Amino acid sequence: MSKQEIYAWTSLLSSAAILGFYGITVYGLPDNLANIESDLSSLFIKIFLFAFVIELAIGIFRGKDKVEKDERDELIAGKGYRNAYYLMGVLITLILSQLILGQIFEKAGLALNLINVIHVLVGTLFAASITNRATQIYFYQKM
Amino acid sequence: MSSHHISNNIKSLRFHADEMTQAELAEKVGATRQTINAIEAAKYSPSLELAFKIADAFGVGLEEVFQYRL
Repeated sequence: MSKQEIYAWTSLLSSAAILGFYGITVYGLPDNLANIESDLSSLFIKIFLFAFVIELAIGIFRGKDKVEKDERDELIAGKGYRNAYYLMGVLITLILSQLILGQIFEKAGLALNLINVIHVLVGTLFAASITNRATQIYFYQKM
Repeated sequence: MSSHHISNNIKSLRFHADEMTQAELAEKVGATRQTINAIEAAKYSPSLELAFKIADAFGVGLEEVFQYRL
């Protein structure tokens, strides 16, 4: 496994952990799962710290391979950014549509207030990051 | 990546080049070992520049390393 692939895994883990922690902090869990909320938050923090330590160790440790990144890594990174961009485009268009066509969404019970729009935007950023890294991992396995 | 029609002789060329390892070839051409492995397994088609560098590393022509068939 190359350094870039390990970075993709650690970044995927940390983004997922932050998104999970953020979601629990902002919205919490349903009442029937409330007893595991603190355990789950703690798990997300541990996952984030684990990924951070791995990334730090890899950054310090210089492997025997002289070249750490080449054209294949850049091609795969490009595919990851493309998919993340598509997801962000769709989600931001939905959020803007919701703001512009508020009345229609209100009737359907899907209207968001300003605070929720901000939460969804933050979630969108992390979802895009997860998409980016997941795409990279997929193509590292495929090619 | 449409690499299905491109085959290569890198493994054989490495063997005849004093059993050169993938890591040694990667270092010579400025790529990662994983990329050489992917090219060798025909999972990834390199850029023209990298293909020429690989051929140059073995001191042979491009067509001796890579073959294209429809």
